[in-house]
Amino acid sequence: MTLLALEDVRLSFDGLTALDGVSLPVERNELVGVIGPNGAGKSTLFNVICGYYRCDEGRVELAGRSLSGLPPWRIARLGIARTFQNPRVFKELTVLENLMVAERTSGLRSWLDVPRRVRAHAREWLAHVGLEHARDVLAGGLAYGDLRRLEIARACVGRPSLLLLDEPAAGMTGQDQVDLVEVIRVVRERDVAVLLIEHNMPLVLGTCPRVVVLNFGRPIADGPAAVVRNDPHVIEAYLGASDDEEVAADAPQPG
Amino acid sequence: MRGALVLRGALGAAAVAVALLVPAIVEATAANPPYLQQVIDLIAIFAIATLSLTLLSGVAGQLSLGQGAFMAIGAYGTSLLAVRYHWPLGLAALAACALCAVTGVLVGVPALRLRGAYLVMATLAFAGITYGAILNWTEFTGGPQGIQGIPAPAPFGTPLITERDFYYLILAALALALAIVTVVRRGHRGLRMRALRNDELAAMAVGVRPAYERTAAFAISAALAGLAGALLSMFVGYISPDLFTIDQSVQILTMALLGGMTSVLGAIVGAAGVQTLAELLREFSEYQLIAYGAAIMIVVILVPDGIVGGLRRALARLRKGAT
Amino acid sequence: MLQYLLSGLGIGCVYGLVALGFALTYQAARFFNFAHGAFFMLGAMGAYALVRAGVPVGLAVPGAALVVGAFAVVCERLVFRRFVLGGQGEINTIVVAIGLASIIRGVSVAVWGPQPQSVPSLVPGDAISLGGAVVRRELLVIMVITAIVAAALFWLLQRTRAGVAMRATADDLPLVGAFGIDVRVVLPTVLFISGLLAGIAGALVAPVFKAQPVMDVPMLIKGLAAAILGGLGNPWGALVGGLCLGVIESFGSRYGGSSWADVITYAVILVMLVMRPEGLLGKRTLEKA
Repeated sequence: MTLLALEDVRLSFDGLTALDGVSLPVERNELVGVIGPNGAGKSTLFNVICGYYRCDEGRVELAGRSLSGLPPWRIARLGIARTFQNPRVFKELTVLENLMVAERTSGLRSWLDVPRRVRAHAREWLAHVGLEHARDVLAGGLAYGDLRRLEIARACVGRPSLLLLDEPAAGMTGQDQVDLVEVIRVVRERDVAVLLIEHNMPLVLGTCPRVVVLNFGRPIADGPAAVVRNDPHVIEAYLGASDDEEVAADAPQPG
Repeated sequence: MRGALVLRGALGAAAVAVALLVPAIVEATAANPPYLQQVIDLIAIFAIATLSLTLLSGVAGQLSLGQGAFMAIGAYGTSLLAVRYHWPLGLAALAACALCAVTGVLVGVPALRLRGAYLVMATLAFAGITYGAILNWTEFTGGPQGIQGIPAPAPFGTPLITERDFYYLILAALALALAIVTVVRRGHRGLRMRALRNDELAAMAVGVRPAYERTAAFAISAALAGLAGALLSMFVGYISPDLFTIDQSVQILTMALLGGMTSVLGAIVGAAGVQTLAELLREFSEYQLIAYGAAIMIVVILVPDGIVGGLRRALARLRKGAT
Repeated sequence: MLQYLLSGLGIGCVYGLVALGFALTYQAARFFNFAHGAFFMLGAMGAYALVRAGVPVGLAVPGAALVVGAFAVVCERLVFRRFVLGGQGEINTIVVAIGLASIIRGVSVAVWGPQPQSVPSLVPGDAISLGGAVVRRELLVIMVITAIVAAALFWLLQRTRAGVAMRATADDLPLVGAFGIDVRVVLPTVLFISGLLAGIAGALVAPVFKAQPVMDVPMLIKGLAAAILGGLGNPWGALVGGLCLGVIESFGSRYGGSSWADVITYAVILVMLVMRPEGLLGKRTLEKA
């Protein structure tokens, strides 16, 4: 069964159409890149999937179960995790504590202390993303690249089946980007599907087997990177955008 | 690391020892022992009330101006049950705290959708309604006269009479409150609350359910404030509405801010600071107001994490400088 | 019946003026001025002080208003500015305003004493009879002055450049800067007007209800309630909210006794916040998470 099923999703704000009939199936453990000019609706799509916006029409289903109308925390518990365009970490908590928040616990025990298994699982993910050394550092004091890795690790601690990454490479140096790709690989090893929004075209075309291009709120291409790269509609969409955009789309974005 | 742990344990033990020996110290050194003891007792009671705000605001991130109102419910609940219906005092206090917890949930639920300033306003409104109710519902609450003749608690058969006797009961209650807030804060639920306080959006994205955490925080916080109110009523022997005005909630806020909003220790420090100020300026109530206002402003502008927070940072810097 | 309506409107005008000031600062800078009640109180005490110093009451009222307006600007410069423009967090801003209000009240008590002080009326004489209702002259004067002030404010906000700047919502503040309007001038101006409004309200009310330092918190609450009733983003809604609140209180006191009037106010706040935060006149905004 398709892991994530988006069918004909539409959303308008006060007359402005943000999503204009988006259909996007995502399979288990798939890695899909979503690109498109600014304002194409990429982040809006994430917000709809995660429950921050409710779509006007269309279906959003996770493993056959409708997500429409569910609050964000519920959708997170059902197995969809995300990162944000600007990394959002819990500044006054330590790195380890940031990760421990993402686990679910219940019962009296959860009031009294943090169960050992929660701590262990969190430390596991710290190791996966290479942040062990910063375990007891307050998250507010981390370097930018580390913030992103922390966010991803935190998203994965909850054992999601789908991870949404919102422009993870923004503001990253070359080495950070290499690390990012490695982190994504580690994530996928754990049977997590990844949906990735990016402006960094070489990164997306280089790492994602499947690429979807959005423009004006609808997909104009959906297929293997090599095919999409040469799709005339896609080229036109990007050329139609300003010169600055096109140049910017090829270069690493500053934060 | 090991050394720090040992140091902490030693400090903790020392603190407990000092706490137990306070009445003896007061007896030995003070010019007017009963008066000083009374001040200390009040500090302890208000420390409990401040702890309720530390939990609600410092941990769960909900700024509330309603703690005075919960104190009122605790105080009036205990007094009415004990004086009118002759319940045993301990049971009355327990029931009053339970009532506070329920009220806390009832207040917390509609407040769930409110953030920041709106939440403050809603809690302010709640405080005003409570005050208005106890002031005007004369048949039930005794109106402006309040309730007199609240019996003294008798935990071991003989009723407590002196301030010194009361001290140990209040200390026990304070210890309970400290334990509750510390444990909740360190536990997994507390972690989730703190995450909610830092960044609600990100917290929701990892499955934290704001409604649950916030309502729980409101309930526990209300019960703690109610406990403080119950103790106050037993300690003073009578209560009246003017003990529980909005100014009272503001005073509790001042205590929490002064000591450090997120710090358990800060609650005690803040309560001690404000109560001391109140006593020193007892004759000049207008200067009290000025002092509170100035304290709030100085803290917010210069030392946002309060006395304890500021000290901790200074200590950390010293340590860094030493290594 | 008419009696209650008219006296309700009269006092409602006072609430409306206060609420208007409160809503203005919110609209211009997303700033909840919890010291606004203190400004109101200063208007009343100021009128008393000026009269006691020999100033004729007709000059004392506008004089007090101007003094409060100026004081509000001083507060803005010394205290509010860094919080409102510096992104210090909403909570800190509120708390610092509460602290400031406490200091203001404390100083007022120290200077003038806590007891209520009477201020001579602008229009001495018996109450006027209007169609069966007996209304105090002062209330009529208040209504007239409120109308004038509201009209002047309307002209200011709609027709002048400064007014447009003030009407820009806090979200658009940077945009306003792009039009060449200095944001750092807008804030003191708004606060001046806000203080002026609170001061006038206080000075007008002083002859009717006497002036005392503890007026500040109750009036803050009423102003808050009225502003919420009318919808926080909307100053005119606040004025209407004030009128409604006055009338509700007036009829409430008829049926329930004046002691419950305050509870009614608080209940209004609570109900509005929970059920309809955008107020009676506001529009629902899309809450982007």
